[in-house]
Amino acid sequence: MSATRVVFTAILLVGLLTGGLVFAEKVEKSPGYFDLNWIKIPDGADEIQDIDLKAALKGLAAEARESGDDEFAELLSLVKSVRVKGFSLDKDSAKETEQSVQKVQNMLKDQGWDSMIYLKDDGEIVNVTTKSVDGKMVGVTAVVYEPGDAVVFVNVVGNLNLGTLLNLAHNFDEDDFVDVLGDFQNYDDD
Amino acid sequence: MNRPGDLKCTDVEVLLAEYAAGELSAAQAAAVSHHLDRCLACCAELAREQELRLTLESLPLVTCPKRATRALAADDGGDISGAQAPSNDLLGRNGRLKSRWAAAAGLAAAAVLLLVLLPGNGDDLVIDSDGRTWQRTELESARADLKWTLTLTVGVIDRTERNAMAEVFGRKLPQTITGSLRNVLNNVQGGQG
Repeated sequence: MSATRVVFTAILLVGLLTGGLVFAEKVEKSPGYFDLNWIKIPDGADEIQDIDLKAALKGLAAEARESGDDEFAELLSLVKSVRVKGFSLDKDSAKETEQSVQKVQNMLKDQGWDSMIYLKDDGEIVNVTTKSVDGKMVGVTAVVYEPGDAVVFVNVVGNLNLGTLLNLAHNFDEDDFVDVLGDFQNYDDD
Repeated sequence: MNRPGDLKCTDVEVLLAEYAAGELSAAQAAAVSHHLDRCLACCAELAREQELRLTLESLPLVTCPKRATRALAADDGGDISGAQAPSNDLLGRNGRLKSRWAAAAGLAAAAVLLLVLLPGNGDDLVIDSDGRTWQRTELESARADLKWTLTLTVGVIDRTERNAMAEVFGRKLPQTITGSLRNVLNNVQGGQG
């Protein structure tokens, strides 16, 4: 291998690596980012959802654009990161998970997230919070905790608003979300 | 000892591909078979030919990627139904050379088929705005994950009762969200109207 090729390959590798790091750093430094990585998935969890979409969102946007669905591609390009950590619960993990849920809620409060929905019913907790900068929403975090059953943490980062999420969801499965939009419609009429 | 009309090795090699494909006339096939009964070299050549055919037949049948079809159409002036006849220069002066070219062409065709038809190539790739290449299978998985997340997130909102939503939104929903919701509703209404 010639020296030129070695140098070129090295530059390419460094570029790719640092490019990836810069991208990762950008998302993690976004005010709409909420770290879920520290939450431990119990060893005994039967069902696990561990989703981490960052770069793949650009791939999906490119695919949508390629198929001529520019509107969907535009919506996807607004979303920078999707992180989900969900798992089923058993007796052994109940205490630790409850502490994690409480810690997440405290962190959200401390970091200035706005409460959008908070329901607590017989131990079950549903908490949806948003983060806005200069009046624009940059992140959504949701916690759904059903003691003895399952817990799910969600963080979505991007130049988004609830309309973006609803529109995206609408693109995936229209029927499921007509009712949701209908609820908002009825609320608006009141 | 050769009889009048017996084929020579050079004659047989030219016919082997068609013989293996069962495309020779009965008389030609009988003549080739007669030669093969007493020629190990041609039998070995036939075995190689059959192996090549089996390899090609074992390739998965997939729809030709649009990109490849377009490329072929462009190369052929828009008509992909008929291939150009090979140049006489390629045929050489004797059957053996022609047979070698045929074998080489077969291998080249196999290589091209492997490159074009196997999953992970051609139209199975998507290049994003950063220049990163994605397999469609990767994107299918990502799409499923995104759908699951959105269904959950929107479902969380859905599960709250209308009155509870009104109460929460009325008191705490930031202006940016109420504005977005109205826009969404307007878009939906506009789209349906």
